[in-house]
Amino acid sequence: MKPQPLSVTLLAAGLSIHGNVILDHGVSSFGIVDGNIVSNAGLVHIGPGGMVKGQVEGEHVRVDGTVEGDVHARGVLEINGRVKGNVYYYGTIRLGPRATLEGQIKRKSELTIENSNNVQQLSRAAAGNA
Amino acid sequence: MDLREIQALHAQYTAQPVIIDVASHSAAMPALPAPDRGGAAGARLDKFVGKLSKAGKPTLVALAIAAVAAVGGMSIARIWHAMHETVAAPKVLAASSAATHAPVPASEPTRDRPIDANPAHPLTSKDLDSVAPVSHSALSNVDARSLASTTSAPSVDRTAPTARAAAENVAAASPIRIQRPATPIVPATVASAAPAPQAVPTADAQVRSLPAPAPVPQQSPVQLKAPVAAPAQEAAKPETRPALRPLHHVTRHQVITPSNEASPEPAAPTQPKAQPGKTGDVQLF
Repeated sequence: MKPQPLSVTLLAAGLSIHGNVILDHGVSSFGIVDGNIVSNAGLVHIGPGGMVKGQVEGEHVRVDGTVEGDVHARGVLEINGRVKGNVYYYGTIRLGPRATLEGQIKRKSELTIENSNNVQQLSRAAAGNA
Repeated sequence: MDLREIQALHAQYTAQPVIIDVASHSAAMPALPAPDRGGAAGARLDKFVGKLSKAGKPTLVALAIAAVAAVGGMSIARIWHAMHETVAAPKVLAASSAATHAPVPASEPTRDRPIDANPAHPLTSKDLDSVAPVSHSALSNVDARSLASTTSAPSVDRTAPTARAAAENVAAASPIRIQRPATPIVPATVASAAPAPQAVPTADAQVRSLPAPAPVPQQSPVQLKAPVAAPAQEAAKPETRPALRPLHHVTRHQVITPSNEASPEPAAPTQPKAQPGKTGDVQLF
């Protein structure tokens, strides 16, 4: 089993993206993203000078810039910037000296069903099909 | 923030895949040490000792109880024995004192007494002396004089026949001696019944004719001593003649042995010649 080469997407400064960014590896964003950034593996890094107007979800999340939305981290969450929203983490959280939080910090388990309305809809759909 | 720093930052959070290389790992591993049997034996020994310790407690308790009981029994036995001795000791002392103080008849035959566990007095040389002549050993009938005469002195031969005659008289009375001559003598008596009167004069003639060659007793000892001993016995004990018949056999047996000793046998030849006169008698047993 050969070790996979490290793959990282770099969104350099001066870049502006309107929409969601979905990745299967790590990303470093120094630009402006007007949407959500979702990554399945690796590190979601919001570098200094970077700004995300939406949710940020990733395996590991490090915020050195500004995030105006909720943050979800399944592993390690480090905040050394400014976050306006709620913070959800499943592993560990680390707050740096320049961390600014405007929201709540919640620790959740992985099997938590976040939206019970979907379940009801599915049950209704199943009942409608029958 | 340059690219190397970004790459280093991402590398920190990148989960390194676990690489399993069996070949390299097996090659890198040192040789496995052989299983230590001593350790296994030690473990087994430990287990065995543990089991023994578990099972040994009741046995130890039982052994301890048995040992205590045994010691107690021994001590009780000793106490009982000591008490019994203290009770019986005065009797023994009294008996011993009575035995020592009582006059002891030295000549009293102690052999007539019943067996006494506690002899009244210790044995002394007198007791042995009094018993010694009565006791008969296996060699008591052996005549030491005759044995000595065979080797050394012919002068002792005169005393030897008398002792032998006494011994033969005692021995002839036994029925064993009587049965033996029965078979050889019967034809002799029958044959000699008619010529009996003739045989007596011949013996007397020999006796009368032989005093001349008397100084040569060794050549014909049988004929020389026979007339001397036979009349004496006939006069003294005529009723014992049938019993003396075995002497014929006995003397005949002894005639062979004295040939080497050169000692004359007195009664041997005379009795067959004296028998014809009494052949009509019934044998007495």
